[in-house]
Amino acid sequence: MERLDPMLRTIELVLFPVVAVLMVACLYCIFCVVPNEVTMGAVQRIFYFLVPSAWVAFLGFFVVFVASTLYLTTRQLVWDTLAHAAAELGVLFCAIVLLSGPIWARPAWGTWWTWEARLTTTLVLELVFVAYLVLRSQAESRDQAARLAAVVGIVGFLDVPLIYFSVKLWRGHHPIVFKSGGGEGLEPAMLKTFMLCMFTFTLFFSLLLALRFRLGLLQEDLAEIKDREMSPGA
Amino acid sequence: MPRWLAAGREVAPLNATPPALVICVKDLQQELKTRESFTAAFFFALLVQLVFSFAFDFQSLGLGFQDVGAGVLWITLTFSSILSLQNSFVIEREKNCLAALALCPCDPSSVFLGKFLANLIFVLAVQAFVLPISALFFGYDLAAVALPLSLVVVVNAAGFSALGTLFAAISVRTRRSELLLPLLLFPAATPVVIWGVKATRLCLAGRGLEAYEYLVGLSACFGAIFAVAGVLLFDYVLEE
Repeated sequence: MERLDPMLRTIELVLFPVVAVLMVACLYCIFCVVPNEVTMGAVQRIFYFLVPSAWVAFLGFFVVFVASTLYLTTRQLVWDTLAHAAAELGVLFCAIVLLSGPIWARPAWGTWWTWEARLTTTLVLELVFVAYLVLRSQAESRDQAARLAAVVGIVGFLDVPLIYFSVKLWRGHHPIVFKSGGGEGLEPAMLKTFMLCMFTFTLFFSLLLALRFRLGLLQEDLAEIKDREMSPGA
Repeated sequence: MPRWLAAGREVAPLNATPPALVICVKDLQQELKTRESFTAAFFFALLVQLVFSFAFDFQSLGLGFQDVGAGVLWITLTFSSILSLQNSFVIEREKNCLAALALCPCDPSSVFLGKFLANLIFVLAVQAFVLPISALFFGYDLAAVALPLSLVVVVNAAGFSALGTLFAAISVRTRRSELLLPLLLFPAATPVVIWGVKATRLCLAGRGLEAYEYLVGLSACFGAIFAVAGVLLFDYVLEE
């Protein structure tokens, strides 16, 4: 804990200016450099924020999985604090995907919502991890919240490929409306911008994670101090 | 009623019978005495069907059981299972039986397996009554597809109960367990519901097993994954 705090502060101090500059660069590239997509027009530019958001949301859930496993094996609450921070960010970025997706879908395909596999998976995952956060808030003690949430975090992550696969199977022979996320057939300028956005969002996610993680640690310190004051004899 | 089920005292000691089976039998005996869980789940399932019929008015729309049966079946199964899953751990909360279960001189995974087995039997028992009744409502010849349909229901209900047992044990530990279980279970059980509905639809349409055996296989995998996850993780859930 004592070692973590300065480390997180350093990460924040380094990442903050880098992310700030890169984010402006991303916006410049998105609005001034890349050409308009032929069929979908200007609205396709949402793609440069939507796909990176989806990527970091999944990254967040992966961090939840790893941190939960580490918590259950080491029983150090630090890992649980990290899992909690990552879950909140995962839910946040999932929400960005779910909000920006329909804004793109409406002009591009004439419908606000489509039960496309990736979009549906994102929705289901959002629900799984919202339940994870509700569970944390409903637990009776800090240790219990950590333990139960870790189990749900692990199970939820194991569920990700199953959910994706099942939704894909469910929509069976429907045309795929998203182009494949890897960016095949993208124009060089588009591909470069896309890669830049992916990189920026990954750093942005790391920055937010460091901030939220440190906040979580501070909250724990505060709770500890309050506990001590409530029971001065102990 | 078989003798081993009727007399609790005669259940073999822990070291002779697998502990999971002992726990499962204990749950079944308790249920046979009170019939709480079954009655509630059964009537709830009937009510769901009733609401379903009012909401969609199948007869005037000309829909048959083969069109809507899969949906009816899976909505009733998931909704009514929530009740029995919930109850299987709520009964343990009284008089702090959960602590006693945790203190059981056996592996925590046995508690999970026992509960899972009992839950699966509950879910299937409810379906065994509800399915013929719904077929009756819709005038469908269930006997023709009884065998393949049972296979689909058993495999998918097993997957749903495996995950449900783990989540029920988690949610019962929290302040608002009845609120949390559906919130946790429904999204996470999406795959087994999707595969179950799809396989059931093909089955009710009279297609051969080869048309949906891959779906049954997938659901079996889902059940296996979460049964193993439950076995490995239940220790942490039971802990005080």
